[in-house]
Amino acid sequence: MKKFIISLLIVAAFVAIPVSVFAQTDFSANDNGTARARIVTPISLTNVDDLDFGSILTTVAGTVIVDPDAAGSLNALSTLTPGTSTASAEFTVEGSANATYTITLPGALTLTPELGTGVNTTVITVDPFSSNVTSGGKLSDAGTETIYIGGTLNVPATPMADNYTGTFNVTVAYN
Amino acid sequence: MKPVHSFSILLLFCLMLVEVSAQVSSTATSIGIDAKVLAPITIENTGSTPINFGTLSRSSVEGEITVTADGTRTASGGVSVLTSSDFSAAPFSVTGDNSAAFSITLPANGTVELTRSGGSEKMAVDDFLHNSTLTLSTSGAATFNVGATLTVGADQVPGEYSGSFSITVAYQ
Repeated sequence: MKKFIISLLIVAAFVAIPVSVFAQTDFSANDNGTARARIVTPISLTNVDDLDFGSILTTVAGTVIVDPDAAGSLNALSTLTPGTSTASAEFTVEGSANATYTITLPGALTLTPELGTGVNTTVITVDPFSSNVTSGGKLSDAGTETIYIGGTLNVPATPMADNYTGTFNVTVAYN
Repeated sequence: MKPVHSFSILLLFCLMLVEVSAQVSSTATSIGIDAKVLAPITIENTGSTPINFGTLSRSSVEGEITVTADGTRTASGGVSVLTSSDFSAAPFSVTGDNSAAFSITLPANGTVELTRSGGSEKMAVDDFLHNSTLTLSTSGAATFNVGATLTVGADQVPGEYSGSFSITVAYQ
């Protein structure tokens, strides 16, 4: 009789597998932005010369037109001729080099008689005003430009002899 | 005959013994592993559009100009704005995980300056603000704008000024 001895050895092993999940992700991100601004010199206007229609002797109505240029000459379309020379108003515009700007001229202006409206009822107006900068101006490399203002003086028939004066505003603005 | 019967019984017993040992010596367990993979969060200055304060006229008094994230521009103090000049807040777009929450880090005050082109004069840019809801959409996207406040110094030298700033987004 044979004896069978069966030895059976079973080894069960648990191997712990370390798991490191370094996921290929970005939890933050960065970017650059930019910022910018343009600084300009404020635009300014300085009056250099006044608008002068000269001395007029007339009994009939008419106009005196002064050209908006350096000479401020009497325009040929004028129906009255002053006995003294006329002059255009001159302004200097200052601001940033090569900047463009618009100019706003005043509307009709009624001049004030020196004797006062109680004594002198003659109504003399400047209408319209004119300028050599019609569609907008552009400052030079030095940031300046000269503007000339002329206009049409409207004189009624039999005006009272007097000094007639007035003030007007011109506006310039960057655009 | 009798001896033959005894042998048969003994063999059967041995076999049964082995089987029982095998069942006690081994077990198996399963362990679950959980890991979530996120889409990377990204940020981009859309179209490289800057915070543009526009054209400003300075005076002998310091002033400030603010462009808000919501697209308005206001000036105070000695600076005035050429209102016809363009301005903009800087747009940014973010992508990442659907519906994820994120934070935005903008520059601290005193860290960003604009420098004059062709010169060294500077102007400070502070009070950076954004208008984000800080949550990505259900498709993992978000857009927002960044605005800031520029300080124009008294008699600031005229010219073109520019500078850059850093912005960081991060998952929460």
